[in-house]
Amino acid sequence: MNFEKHLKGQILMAIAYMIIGAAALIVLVTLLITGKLEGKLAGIFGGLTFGFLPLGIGLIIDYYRVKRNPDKWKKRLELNNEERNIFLRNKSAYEAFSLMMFLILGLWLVNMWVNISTSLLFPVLLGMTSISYFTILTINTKKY
Amino acid sequence: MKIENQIKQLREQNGYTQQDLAEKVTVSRQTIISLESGRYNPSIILAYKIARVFNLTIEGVFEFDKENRE
Repeated sequence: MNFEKHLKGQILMAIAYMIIGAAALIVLVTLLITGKLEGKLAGIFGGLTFGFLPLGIGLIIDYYRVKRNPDKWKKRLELNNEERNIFLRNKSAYEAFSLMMFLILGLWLVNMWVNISTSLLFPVLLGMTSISYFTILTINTKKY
Repeated sequence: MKIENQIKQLREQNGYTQQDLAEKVTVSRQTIISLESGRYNPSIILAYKIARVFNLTIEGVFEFDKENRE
């Protein structure tokens, strides 16, 4: 992968995240000042602000760290795209996906008797996906 | 399917460390460890790169497990 292209992509993404975060912050503050900040709106714009703004700032900080020591980061990028690592990521993603299918099936069956709210179900599924992926990735890294 | 290889023996004969070999074929040292222990089967490109380091053909470094070959 072209290193300069990767860096350019990262800075553009960081700027985009910061714009979304800043826009959400402006809306949040405006709603707060005008007294129109309700529960749902606070959740949406608060989430967008505190999700995107730190992410954008973090990526900008990372960008300048990479700029200071490009050789180290070039090597890291090369290793990230190394065939064994790609193999491990692909295999782990496939296995985590298969596991999630069984989990969804299980939750669907449970839902027949116990009503699970979707606002609880989606974050749980999202969390379980990440946990299962990283657990399987750790196991596969040791295995292969 | 298991592929046996002579990487460790060839590396030691040529006086390379795992890190040296990893740098020559642009992979991580961990990949060389996995290859030597037979836990990971390389792609044809990586197998070719490794064989070239030792001035051998792919068959000179890698061999299919006899049970699977038959």
